Amino acid sequence: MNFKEKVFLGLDLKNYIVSTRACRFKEGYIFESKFGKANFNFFDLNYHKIVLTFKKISGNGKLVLKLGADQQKVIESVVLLKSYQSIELDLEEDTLLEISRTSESTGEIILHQITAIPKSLTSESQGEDLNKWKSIIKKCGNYHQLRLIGNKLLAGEGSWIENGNLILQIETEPSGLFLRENNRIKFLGSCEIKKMELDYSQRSNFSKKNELYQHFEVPTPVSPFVKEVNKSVKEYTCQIFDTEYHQTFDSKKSKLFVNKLAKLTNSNAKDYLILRRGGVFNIPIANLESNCEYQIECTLQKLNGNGKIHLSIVSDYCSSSSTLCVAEAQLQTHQVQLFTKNGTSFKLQLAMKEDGIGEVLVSRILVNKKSLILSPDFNNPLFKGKFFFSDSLDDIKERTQNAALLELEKYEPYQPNYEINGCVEATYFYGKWWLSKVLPFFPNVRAKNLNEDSLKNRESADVVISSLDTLKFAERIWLMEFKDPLQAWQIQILTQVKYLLTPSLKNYFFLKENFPKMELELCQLSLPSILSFSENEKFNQIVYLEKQLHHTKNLIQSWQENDPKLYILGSNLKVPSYIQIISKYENYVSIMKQIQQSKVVLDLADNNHYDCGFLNVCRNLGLAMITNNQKYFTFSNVLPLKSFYQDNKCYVDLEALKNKVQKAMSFPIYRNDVSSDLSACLKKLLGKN
Amino acid sequence: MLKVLYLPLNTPEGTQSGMYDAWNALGVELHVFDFYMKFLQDQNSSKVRAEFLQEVSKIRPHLVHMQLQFTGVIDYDTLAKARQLSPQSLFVNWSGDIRKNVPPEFVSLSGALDYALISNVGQMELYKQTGCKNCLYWQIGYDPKISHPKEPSGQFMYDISFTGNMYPVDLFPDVKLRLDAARAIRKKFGKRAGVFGNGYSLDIGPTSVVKGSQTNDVYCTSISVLSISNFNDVSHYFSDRLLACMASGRPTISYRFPGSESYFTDGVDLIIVNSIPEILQAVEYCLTHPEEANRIGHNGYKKVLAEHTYTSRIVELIKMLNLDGLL
Repeated sequence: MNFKEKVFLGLDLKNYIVSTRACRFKEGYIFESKFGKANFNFFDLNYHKIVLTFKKISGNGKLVLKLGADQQKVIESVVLLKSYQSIELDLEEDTLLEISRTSESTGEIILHQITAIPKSLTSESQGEDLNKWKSIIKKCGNYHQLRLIGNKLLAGEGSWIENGNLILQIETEPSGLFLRENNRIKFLGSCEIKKMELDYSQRSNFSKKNELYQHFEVPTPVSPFVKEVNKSVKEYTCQIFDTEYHQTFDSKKSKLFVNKLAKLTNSNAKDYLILRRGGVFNIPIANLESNCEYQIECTLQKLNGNGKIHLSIVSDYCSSSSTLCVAEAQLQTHQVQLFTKNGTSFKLQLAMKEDGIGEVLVSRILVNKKSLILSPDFNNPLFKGKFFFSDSLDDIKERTQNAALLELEKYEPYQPNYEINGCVEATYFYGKWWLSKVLPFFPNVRAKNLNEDSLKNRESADVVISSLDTLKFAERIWLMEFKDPLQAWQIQILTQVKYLLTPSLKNYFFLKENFPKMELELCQLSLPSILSFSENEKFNQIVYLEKQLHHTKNLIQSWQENDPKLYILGSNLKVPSYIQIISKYENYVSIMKQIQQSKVVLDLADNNHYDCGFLNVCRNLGLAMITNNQKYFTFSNVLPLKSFYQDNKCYVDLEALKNKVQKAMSFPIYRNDVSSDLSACLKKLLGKN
Repeated sequence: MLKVLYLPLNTPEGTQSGMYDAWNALGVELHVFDFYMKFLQDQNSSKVRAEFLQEVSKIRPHLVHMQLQFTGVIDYDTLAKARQLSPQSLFVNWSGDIRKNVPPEFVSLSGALDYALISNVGQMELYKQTGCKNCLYWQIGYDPKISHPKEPSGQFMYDISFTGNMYPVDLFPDVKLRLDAARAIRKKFGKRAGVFGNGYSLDIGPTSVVKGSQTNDVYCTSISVLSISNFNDVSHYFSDRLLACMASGRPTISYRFPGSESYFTDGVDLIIVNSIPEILQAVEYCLTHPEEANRIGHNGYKKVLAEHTYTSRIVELIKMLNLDGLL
């Protein structure tokens, strides 16, 4: 049993054609006058009714429909209009249909589509009974110029019934004197409606009497238990709200409002809302966002009383800010500022509360997002970046790590550089980690939000070291290499950035193309080389710095006990005994010693072209490299790994990797001189070069 | 400047001074309304509520951060009025407690809040289904002034220590597990197993009660420390005991709990065990591998010091609520 309509148009029609004569196909079947004919076989259609949609191209539109193998059922009809017109047929047991032009037909008609309709569940539409006609019409909602005379339902030219999609089948006498247009059934001439069948599978859409607010929801009270919210709070993407929301009032909806305290009325061909004490009127506005400021323009007039009404923005969770407006005796526009808080399904609420007396007339509401949000005001407290409400485990881990407070590393001995000064901030963990290792060399460079000492630093950072996920507004940003596509809120931030430094050539070209006003520069984050190269202290071990979790997982799964000892830096994963994790909180000297003692560094990352300070330190300590980072492919002692992308993630051939590991372990060991000038790096970051 | 009105759960046994320090470290304008101590003093909740509303009206804070617990002192209606007095304030209430069922007091307040914060992920759906739709996860922290490494003055007094009260077995899911663990370490290590808390049966042997900074002293004089909570199957739930253990700098043996890998690395920051025999094996390992044990203890300390103090938690909260622009 089929329960859904099926539409066949265009080439789909050909599936049911048996034969044609004087009938050509072009976006439908075009029947020539007098001789045009097509035979259809709906043998495997399994529907009881079909609706044929015709259009007249020219002439008088006369045609004949013959149903059944012996063509017993003959229907003569006329395609009157050059817009679409439907003819409904009850197939019952018949599967063969012939459509042909009569001998007195002129011009051409086109069969555009055939719609197969399932049998309705029940039918109340055997409309000879007066009450049943009334019941059916009422369920459709509005109608125009229909007459019930005796038991007959009559329509004329220009009559219509609303919500035509609720009507499965309709038959008129003469037949076919109607068409479906803009969800209405429009009648083309005087006729009797013989049959009208409703689609009871859509009963929830039937027009209901006594509904309080058909188009607007009942105001949400603040109650101990919040009503069900269909969608959970997800990651928020900041969208630019360019257009105004403009609300006027439509008194045609007034019949739907039984509430006398808030009603729509019409005066001098203009519609108004009238509020009385206790009256509440809600306007759901889909474009309203959390944590934003809006300017509301409200045109009011006091009819009598004190003119006090309250405007507020309410959401599913609870009511938000509320502002009092006092209307004067003449129409005046008032401007108020309202804030939204965290929530969903925002509504603008107009209410006359206990402090109001009399009646207030509202003629117009205009809602504007304040331009403050869109201007590059980096310190704007209301600006929203990424919404940290995701409860995914990766996001929980990232959130906590990024809030970490790291003390500066203690080196002995060290040579501080007092010439470079400035202020720097990092918004993600490894940016902070880098600062904690590097800033001890630069006592006059101040950190923001790195450790407890720097939390109160309120000066603007000269540069913000950021990842894509932790972007924040700043004029100058160093952005960690990325692979993911940009989200709307990230685009908005990057549009405002004046200077951007990136370690990745790929990202450089991408950003150059998409943000032409941005000044771009390549810049890697160099790490301090505090240990020297030592050939004699090498063991058969490999070091790997975790960049993306999925690479680490794949690596651990593929690693065997007889493979060289693997040291993974900075992962939380559980590992077998032949793999060792080095905590990212180990002091820097210990980490460097572990690297110094290793023969090979393994590097896997989603972005496969960027300059990496960690790899450069490894090369300076004489490690061979196995990497998918194309930046290093041409260097000596480097075994390149090819990577491929699937589901927006990067993968490497692990078997090829293992083969390269064996090879790399036998490489000669020598020091590479890779520049890692910390001072130059910091000058570049701060814009002091 | 970010203005915060903080309603801590202070009791005669202790003040949330660690949280005050954390807020002050951020340089916020902090106002404290000690709702519970005021209530204990006057036994007049109406008076406390009225004072609270006066404070809100006077200060107009950006954030009202509360730990109202299940005291009933500040109720839903009071919060609703407070919101009307200061419409631009964010109101959040946090609970570090966990129960088998969702406390109705917590849910009843949530309708008047922007966010209700709980300290685990595993019960989030339960809270939402019970009516707490605006529920978010915000983990517990610790005070580094109270919990931190100390050099033992002499030899270690204990091979393993566990601090935790015993409750009726059917009150929480893992009461029996904790009791069995206490029994097992006592049986194996005798007096070298420190067991501290109320409610232990006599067969466990001598126990005593420690509070506040004494707990840290106990941990610092133990070769290894044990952490088991009463709920070990709730995703991302752990009590501040775990953090206090790790903050001591001694290797922490923690009973497994789901979500531990979001924060900690087994064998690096702490030792995760899955059964009572594994607890005993882990203790033996710490006794026979002192260097490794010290390394794990030190790593654990560094991690919690960086990521799990009250200050880090507040930094995280400010970011979650998008208030960092106001700092």
